[in-house]
Amino acid sequence: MTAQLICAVALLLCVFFAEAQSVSTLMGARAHAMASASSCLDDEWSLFNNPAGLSGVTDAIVAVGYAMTPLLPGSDRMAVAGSLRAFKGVLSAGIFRFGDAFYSEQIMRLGYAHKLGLAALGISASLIQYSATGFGTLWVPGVTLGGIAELTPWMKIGAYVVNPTQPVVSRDHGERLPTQLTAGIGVTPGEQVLIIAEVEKDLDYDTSWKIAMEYRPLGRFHFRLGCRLVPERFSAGVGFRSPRLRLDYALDYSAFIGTGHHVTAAYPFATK
Amino acid sequence: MKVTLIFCILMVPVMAVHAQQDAHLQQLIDDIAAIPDIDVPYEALYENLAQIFSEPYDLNRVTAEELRLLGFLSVQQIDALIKHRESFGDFLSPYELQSVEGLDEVTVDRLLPFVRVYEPETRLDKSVLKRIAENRNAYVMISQGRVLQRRAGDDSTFLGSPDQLKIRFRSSRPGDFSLGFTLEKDAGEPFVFESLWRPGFDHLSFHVQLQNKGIIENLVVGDYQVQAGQGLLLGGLFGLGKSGSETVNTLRRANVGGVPFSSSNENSALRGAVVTIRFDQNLHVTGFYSDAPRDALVEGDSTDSQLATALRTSGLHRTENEIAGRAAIREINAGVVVNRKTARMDAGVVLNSVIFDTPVQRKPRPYNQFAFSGSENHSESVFLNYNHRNHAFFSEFALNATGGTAAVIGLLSSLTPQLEVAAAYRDYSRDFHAFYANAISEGSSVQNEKGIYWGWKYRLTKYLHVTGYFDMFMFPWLRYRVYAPSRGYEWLLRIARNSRSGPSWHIQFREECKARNIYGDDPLVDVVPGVKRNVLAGTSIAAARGLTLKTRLQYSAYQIGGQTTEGMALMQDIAAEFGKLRVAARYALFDTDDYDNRQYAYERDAWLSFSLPAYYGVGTRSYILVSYSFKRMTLWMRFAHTRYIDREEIGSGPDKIAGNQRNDVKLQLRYRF
Repeated sequence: MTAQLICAVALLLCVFFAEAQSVSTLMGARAHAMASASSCLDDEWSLFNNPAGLSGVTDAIVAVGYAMTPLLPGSDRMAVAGSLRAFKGVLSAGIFRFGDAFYSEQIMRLGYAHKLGLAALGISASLIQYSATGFGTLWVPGVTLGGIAELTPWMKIGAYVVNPTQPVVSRDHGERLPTQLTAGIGVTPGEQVLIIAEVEKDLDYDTSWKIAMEYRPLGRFHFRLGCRLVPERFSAGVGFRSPRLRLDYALDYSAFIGTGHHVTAAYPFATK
Repeated sequence: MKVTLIFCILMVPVMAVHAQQDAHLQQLIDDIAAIPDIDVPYEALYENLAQIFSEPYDLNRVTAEELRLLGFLSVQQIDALIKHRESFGDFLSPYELQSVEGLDEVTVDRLLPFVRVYEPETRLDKSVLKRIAENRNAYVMISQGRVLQRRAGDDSTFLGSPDQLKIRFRSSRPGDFSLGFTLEKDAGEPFVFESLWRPGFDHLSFHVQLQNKGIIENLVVGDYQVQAGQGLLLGGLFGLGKSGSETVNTLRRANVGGVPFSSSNENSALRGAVVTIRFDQNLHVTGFYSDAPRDALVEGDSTDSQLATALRTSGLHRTENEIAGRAAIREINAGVVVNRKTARMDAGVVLNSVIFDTPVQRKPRPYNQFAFSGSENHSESVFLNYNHRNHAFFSEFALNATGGTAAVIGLLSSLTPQLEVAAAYRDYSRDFHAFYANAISEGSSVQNEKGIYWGWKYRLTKYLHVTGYFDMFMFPWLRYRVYAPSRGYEWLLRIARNSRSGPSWHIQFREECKARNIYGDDPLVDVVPGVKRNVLAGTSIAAARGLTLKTRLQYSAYQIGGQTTEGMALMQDIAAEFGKLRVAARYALFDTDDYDNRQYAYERDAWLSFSLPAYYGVGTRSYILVSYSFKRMTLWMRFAHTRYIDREEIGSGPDKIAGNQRNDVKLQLRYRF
């Protein structure tokens, strides 16, 4: 039994190491409810998505998040991030963890964003630790660059690239970190509505398409809906906003892996 | 206030708009048929809309549910119209609609053909019989059509002439009364007097309807259809799930109760009576009973062991075999709908029983293991619709006595004045049975399906609209030609410019991914995803007064198991008016690799007729439709021609035509009293 388990895990690890090395670090229940269309979002979770979005952080803020897919045990993801205004921009630091006792990925990430007129630029640098029971651990550096530009008061364009330099994971196997480019357009047809359309291309996968919407009626609750193609997935979510607390929940559904849940909370510290 | 309104109304070029109304219905249908799907009963839907079009609603009596039936008005627009009527009193003219807040020009144009303001004096207290006798809104229509080439069946198995004949009479005053009948003989059917129900014509349908007589809100005797809740049990023939231009408002069904049935669709009418009684302002009770014959294939020798192995819905009775199945079984259908309706809420309960005199048992196949069998189906459902500000929530849950369940819940929202959004979730168990359901679904029946739908409609400018939807679905059990549980998705994006003056155009993309069997050398069947992509582009230009030019391009590609096939059609239409004479014509070229790429194209046809042929193969299609009005008479003549270059015979079985050409002619005459 134990031998079988080890074999199974070893096989799983071969797949992980041979195909795609890293899981998605997209975090934030707000982005998640919007089909992960995050290129134009600017909030405390931008550290793990488009770093340029950090420029939208106004107060010092701490955020925690947890994501799980019940049909895929061992695939839980969690993250903590903190941001504050510093060096004429926004500085942010966070930790991310994926996996269980057998296999895990841990990321330490530092990000900075600066706004220049109508455009914001951001960068984040990560140190990724892969660890698998019996196979040891591996440390790889990664970098993400992003930008968000305001074309008109009601239209934004955002894009970011993950690991543009394709850092090497394993020289023996010629493995490199996945390179991914995401670009999207955000439209605000009315004060209460945000629509985002986005494409995401990972060199190892087919192009993914996303469209999402956020509805912010007066009051404290926000509602979100998103859908994604390749692979197809539906998502929806609700958010709560108060001056001292932000709570978000996202539910997604795909015929491949069933439902997924994502919860995040953030505590802003009002600056004087 | 009224004075200004009248002034505004007088400013409208009334005659010009009237002349365009026919074209608007055509356009509406063209939009609806934008993504033709064989599963949707377009013909019946068209006839229903055309029926309203021929006897427009009384704008001062029309209900919110009746307006919803049209399928293109948003919750806010319906609300605004009713509120306007409540606060400013009766409409003096349909053109007063332009002053209703929230009704934009394009919507008003679409709505105008379906509503009318009837002169108040005709509503006075004469007896109903007198009103019927004096009614001016009545017509009788006769039409004849045939294929000029001989079909294989004409020489052998068809018992009757290749002519299609139809006679239709209707006299009505919306909100008051309606009576009418339809007689029809399909091509190939014999013309022999058999009984009062079959007086030479193969099909007879009639109805008498009275509305708003004391506590009787609605009474129909004869042929009718019933629509209640979200259509999980009783769906009638109105309503489309996913259509072309209307991706939001068609999602919610109208709760209209009994509606007269005058379509020539032979196997879907209920026959008997339906009555709706209003107990107080808010409580409505509808009861119906129907005893109708149905076509079926009955097998078994003795009466006790007989089984109906297939229900036939074509309505064709041309050969000995088809006639043998005519009215082979009896269907008793009875039900009650109790609903409480307030300005914001509409909630109710539906009870429905269907009983066949011969048990139904399909030939067993793995995919129809959960299909209906037996002779009784009892069901109940509850529905709840609730409006809150800009949001309209709708839902229905249904249950069979045998345990099948179905649920649909959804929301329509106007998030901004420009943006409307709809979302709905559906879950129909594989053993759910409802013969008259018409709810949102990907499959052809409300059964064996789960899905999430998200549709949106965005008015970029007054004339420029962007609409789209995304639908993801799962079939928990096998389906016809899909021998495994499967899943798929579909999305559509359409950009359209519609304007009263100036050119109109639209472009539409759609992709659908659905599993299907493929057969290889292996004896096992492979179930693989098949992807169909469509592109559609069209323009319409009013080139001169009374002259409209339309060009349309359709392209599709179907990809399955590593193979791709394609199809296209290019069409040029012209419509011209010379006083009382109108001419519409088309010339089209089509080139399709296979049946998966057949191109459905809506064609102009005589009044109340519907034509949505599939262009398939390689060839040309052309038609000309001429109509001429003199006094109370209108005459239509239509000639259509198809020529293939890739085959020497057309069709198969009894419909087969030797040669590569097919010509259709039709003559129709209408007399208005």
